[in-house]
Amino acid sequence: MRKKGNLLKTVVALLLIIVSIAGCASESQQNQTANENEAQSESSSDRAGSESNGTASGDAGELPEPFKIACYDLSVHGAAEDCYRINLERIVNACGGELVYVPMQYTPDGVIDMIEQMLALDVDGIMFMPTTDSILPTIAKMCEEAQVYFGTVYRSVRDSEIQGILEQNPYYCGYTTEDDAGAAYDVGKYLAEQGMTKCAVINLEVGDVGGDDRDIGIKKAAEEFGFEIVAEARGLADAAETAKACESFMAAHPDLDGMINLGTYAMGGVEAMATSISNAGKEDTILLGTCDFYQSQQEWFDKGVIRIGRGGQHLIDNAMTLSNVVNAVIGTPVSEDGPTYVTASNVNVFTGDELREWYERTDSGQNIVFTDKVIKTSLIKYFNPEITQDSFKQFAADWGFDFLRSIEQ
Amino acid sequence: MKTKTKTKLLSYLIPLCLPIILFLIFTIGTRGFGVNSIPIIISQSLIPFILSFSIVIIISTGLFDLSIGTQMIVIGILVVWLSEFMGAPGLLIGSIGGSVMCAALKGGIYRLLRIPSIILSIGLVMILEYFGIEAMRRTTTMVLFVKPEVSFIGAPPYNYIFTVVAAALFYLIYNYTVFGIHIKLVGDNELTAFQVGIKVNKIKYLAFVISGVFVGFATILYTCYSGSIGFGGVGMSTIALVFRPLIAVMIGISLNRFCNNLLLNLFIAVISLNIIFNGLIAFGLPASTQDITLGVFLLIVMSVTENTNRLREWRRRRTVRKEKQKIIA
Repeated sequence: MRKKGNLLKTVVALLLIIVSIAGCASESQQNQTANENEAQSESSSDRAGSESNGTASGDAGELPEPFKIACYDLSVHGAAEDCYRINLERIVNACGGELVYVPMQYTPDGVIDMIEQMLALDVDGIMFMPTTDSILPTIAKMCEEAQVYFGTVYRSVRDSEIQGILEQNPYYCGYTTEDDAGAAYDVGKYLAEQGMTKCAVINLEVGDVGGDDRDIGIKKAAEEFGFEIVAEARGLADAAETAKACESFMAAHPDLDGMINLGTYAMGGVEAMATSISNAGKEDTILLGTCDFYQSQQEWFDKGVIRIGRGGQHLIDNAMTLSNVVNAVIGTPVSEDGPTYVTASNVNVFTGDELREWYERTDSGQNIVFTDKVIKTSLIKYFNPEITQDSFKQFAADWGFDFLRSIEQ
Repeated sequence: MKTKTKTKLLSYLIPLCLPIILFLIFTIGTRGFGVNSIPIIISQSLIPFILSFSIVIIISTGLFDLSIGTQMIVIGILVVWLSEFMGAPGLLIGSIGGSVMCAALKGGIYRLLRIPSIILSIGLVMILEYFGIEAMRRTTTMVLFVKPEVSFIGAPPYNYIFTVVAAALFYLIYNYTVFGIHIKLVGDNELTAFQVGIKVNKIKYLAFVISGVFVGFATILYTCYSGSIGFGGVGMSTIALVFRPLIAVMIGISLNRFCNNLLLNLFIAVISLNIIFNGLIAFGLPASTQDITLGVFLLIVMSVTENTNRLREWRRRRTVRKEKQKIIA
């Protein structure tokens, strides 16, 4: 009996060692990849930097005082997310700062906990995604007491009273959002033009500002273009649950001719929607549209199951808020008159090739989006005093294929 | 004899009324719901049905395991990799073998550390999610696709065959083995079980291992269900996968008061939940209302079943009181 106990202890000890080694190995691998990408981006930024002579007022020798920014981390580690991190770190590093990550929380009190963790890191600025408006006054107070600049991403502030409280706060930099309602409206409009009359929607939980905005957009499109939303499912956890919901939609409404993904946190959720439609042999009768891009949906565009995708906002949303906060931290705010509110442009794709090109340019790690030239001429006022609130906003509004194609690597 | 048979039949009929009434309500109340929905309801019930066996085995021993869903996803990711090289046999062997190994490890850690099972399971959710992320990092998309030549084993009729095999196995283990009796004894009163010579720790360890077998069966169906398996983040998001089977287990155990056949009751509970889910979609109700309805349904079933004895006692007392009054009069 004692021998068995010892054996078990040995096995557990060995397992713990293996887990620790695996953790360290993956961490070092991650660092190595980041360093490689960094090196790659440095070489391209050197090139970009030499091209940008004359436009930027500062150079590598005249960096602002070192600073630290804390950013929420979605804890998602796909190629795209890793690429976003590299691009965001480039913006901070170009100004001589440091970017640290704190795991994202998705509940209102969780977000406040996350902010406390960020502030405990002795940072100069923070950026985060607020799940609801109601937590913002508390966070504003926390940041003011800690004298830390803050900006939000993906979500606008819908409550005017809260907006007023935030605008009184000297450390509030503003937000970046995309037109969520407009995105859903456009997807609905396109599918209605293709002949959709009855659709089912999948969305985030009620109360999620982005999901709620998209709800407003799709309802507006339904009213204007005469289609009916006959069923909905929300907060689906995974691909299997999404597939179940789609099967139920099709069983309950045999005349269903459209499905729209307005938002989901389920990995593989959109692919599960497409698979369900395909398995039911309804590729030709059910039109599928989606807000946000998902990494493996290009094949479903090729097969003709997904008809429209609207997204591509993640990188620009985060980059704009981060730049906004960095500008405030280093003493050159985008505007002296108050917070800067940015609405980033979304992109429509209709084919697999378009989506592949988008990924190639933004998410693959092959191309650097925020080169030194872009950072120093369009985003950071320290390097280019001619940046105004309008030019800053315009940069986000111009986000799209044309902008990406114009970047010199 | 006749009365006995009648009583037994009646005891089966009461739980069966639950899905039948729900089915009728939604069939009459909505246009899209009806006989055409039955295949979907049954096929959607298979995974939670099998997972409920695993939960019952664990709960009967007085333990609690929230890591079952996480285990299913992580093993699912690994077996999709395995199926790339070994095809369908890789998926089958990997699912059951991997789940049993994982469960054995879980049981071993529980035996060694002697901490409350709920705390252990939360810790394991975090560790397993880490392994899931590490495995998914090898992909560029965070989604793995199961090849059609493999995923067919999760499609009809194979999914039904797996479910029947798992159900038969559960029925035999739970009702006709010494282990089945021992887990119930341990769950009822650990001290008494120990005093009568049952090796409590061994039984608990075996409960983890046997529950792993059922998680393995569920993994096969789960992996093949949507043709893809995705896993994007840590943060204990996978715990949610346990909730629906757990609700089914609660309802199933409650229904056991009427009919002493847990397997049937679990099936009835899972089917009822899916009838509600599909019926509400056919109703076109908003998702928030769907959640409220499911919550209300759980409360109604639990309160009715839990208070049956009190109700019976109240009726008996009322009758006695009336008879007493009659005699006095």
